[in-house]
Amino acid sequence: MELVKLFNAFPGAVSQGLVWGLMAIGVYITYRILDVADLTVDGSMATGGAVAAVMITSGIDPWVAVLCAFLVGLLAGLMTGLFHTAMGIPAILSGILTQLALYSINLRIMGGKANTAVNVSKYHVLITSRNVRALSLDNPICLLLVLTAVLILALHFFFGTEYGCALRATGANQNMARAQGINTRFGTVVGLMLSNGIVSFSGAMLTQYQGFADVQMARGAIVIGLAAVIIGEVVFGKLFRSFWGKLICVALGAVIYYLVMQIVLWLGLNTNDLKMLTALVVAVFLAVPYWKGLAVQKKIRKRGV
Amino acid sequence: MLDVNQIVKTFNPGTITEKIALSGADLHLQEGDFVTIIGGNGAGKSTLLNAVAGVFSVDRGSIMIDGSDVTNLPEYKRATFLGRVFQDPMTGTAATMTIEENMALAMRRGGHRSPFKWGITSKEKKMYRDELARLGLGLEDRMSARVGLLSGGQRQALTLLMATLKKPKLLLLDEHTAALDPKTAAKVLHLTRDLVRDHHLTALMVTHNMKDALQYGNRIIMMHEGKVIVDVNRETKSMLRVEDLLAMFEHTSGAALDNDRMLLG
Repeated sequence: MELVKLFNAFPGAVSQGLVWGLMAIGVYITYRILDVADLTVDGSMATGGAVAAVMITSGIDPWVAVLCAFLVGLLAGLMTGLFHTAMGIPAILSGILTQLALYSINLRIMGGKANTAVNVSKYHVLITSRNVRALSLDNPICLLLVLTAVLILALHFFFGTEYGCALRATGANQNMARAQGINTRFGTVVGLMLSNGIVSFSGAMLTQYQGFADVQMARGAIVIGLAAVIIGEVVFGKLFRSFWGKLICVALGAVIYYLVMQIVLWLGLNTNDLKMLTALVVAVFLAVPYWKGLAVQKKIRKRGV
Repeated sequence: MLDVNQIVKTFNPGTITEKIALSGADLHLQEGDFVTIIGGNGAGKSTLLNAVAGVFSVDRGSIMIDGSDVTNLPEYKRATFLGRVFQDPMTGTAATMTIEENMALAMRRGGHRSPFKWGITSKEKKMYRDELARLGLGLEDRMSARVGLLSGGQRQALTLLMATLKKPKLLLLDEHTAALDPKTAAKVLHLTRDLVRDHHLTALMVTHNMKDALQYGNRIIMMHEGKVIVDVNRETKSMLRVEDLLAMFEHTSGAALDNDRMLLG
C-alpha cells in the first residue's frame, strides 16, 4: 500500500526533474563550460516564472510567454556579466548582486504581489502537473522530453561552431583564449546571458507545471542545479564522452535528484529539512574530487622514498 | 616589423611593492629577424614580451607591429599579429579541449568566429594531421585526445605549432623551454628553429641559456634594469662565445650577471 504511494509519486518526480534538468543545463554552461559559479540563477529562474505567469494570465500564448521569459533571462545574465566584466566585481559576487536586485524586479513584474496563480482550467498552458499521470500526449513528460532534446541538440551545435569553441576555450584557459584572439570578457558575458536565458525559460516551464509563480520559487536553485550536474557526472559520466551526452547526463542527474528526494520523503523525512539535505549532499559530492586527490597523495607517500 | 619605442612600465606604482619593470626600452626588428633576449633576474625580458603582447598597457612609449600602432589595442586584438609560446606549458593550450580543437582555435586567430560555421571541418583535420606528423611525436594519431593528457614537452611543441599555424607577423617565445627537461628542451628548440626558417618568421625569444642564445637566431640583445643595453648583430654574434657575452654584459651594465637559472654551458 505504502509502496504504491511512492510509485504514484514517480511521474511527478520525473516531470519536476525534467523541468529542473533544463535549468541544470543552464547551470552547466556557466559552471562547467565557463568555469564560473553564477548565483544569478536563484533570481533569474523566478524571473522567468514571473514573466510567464503574468503574460499567460493576460491571455498571451504560452509559447510567446516562454520565449519572452528566455529573453528576459538574457538580460539578467547581461546584468551579472556587466557587473563582472565592466565593473570588475568577482563573478560570484556579481551573481549575488543581480540575484538580490531580481527579487525586487520579480515583485515588480508580478505587480507587487509575492505570487501569481496560473489557473490551468482558465488559461492555456504548455504543461501542468494535473496531467502527470495521463496516458496521452498531454502528459508533461512528453513535451519536457522534446524540449530537453531540442535544447541539448541546439547547444551541441552551438558549442561546436567557431564561436562556441571560442567560448569553451574561454572557460578552459583565458590566457590561451586571448592569445588566440578571443575576446574573453565579451565571451563571459555571452555565456552568462545564454545560461540565464535557459534558466529563466525553465522557470517559465516550472510556473506552468506547478500552476503559480512565486518570488521564492527558485531559492537555492543554484544548489539543485549543481546537484544535477554533479550527480549526472558521477552516475553517468563514464557512459557519455560527447558534448550532447554530457548534457543528457545533467538532465538525468536532475531527474535522479527528484526521484531520490521523493524516496527520502516517502521514508518519512520532513519536507522542511529537504534543503538542508540537498546542501549536504552537494557538499559531499563537491568534496569527492578533493578527497580523491588526498587519497592519491597518501598512497604516493606510503609507496614513496 | 616591430618597433618598440621608449616604453616605460611601473608595476604597483606608489606602493611598497613598486617595481620599475621597463624604463625606456627600445627595440627595432627587421622582417626575418630572430632575436634572442638574455639578461639577469628582473631585467624586464618577460615584461618586454608581455608589453608587446598587450598583457598590460604601458605607461609611456609606443609599440608598432608591421607599421600599425598597437599601443592601445587590447591583448586579444593584438593576437592577430602574434604567435605566442609561454614558459608554462599549461598556458598555451586548452587542456579540456582536444588536440584538433586547439589547432582549429589557433587557425582562426585574427579571423571572425562565426556562430553559424563549424568550429572545425574535416578538410582542416587532414591538414592538422600532416602538420602534427612533422613533430614526430605521434600526435597525429591522437588528434581527438584531450590536450590535458599530453606531457609538458608535447604540449609545448603543440603550442609552438599552433602559434605558427597561421603565419604571425611576430613570434613571441617567453622562455618556452625553461620548464622542460634538457632533451625535450633541445627538441623544442630545434622545432622552433625549423619553423622560423621554413615560414620565414620574425621572432623574439627570451632564454636563460647563454649557449642557446648564441646558437639560435641572428641577433642577441641583453637587458638590464628595464632597458636594452647590448644589441649584437649577426656578424659579431657568430664570433662570440659565452665568456665574451658575460664580459660584454659586465662592461656595459657595471654589474655581474645574476640570474639564478642562467645556464652558461
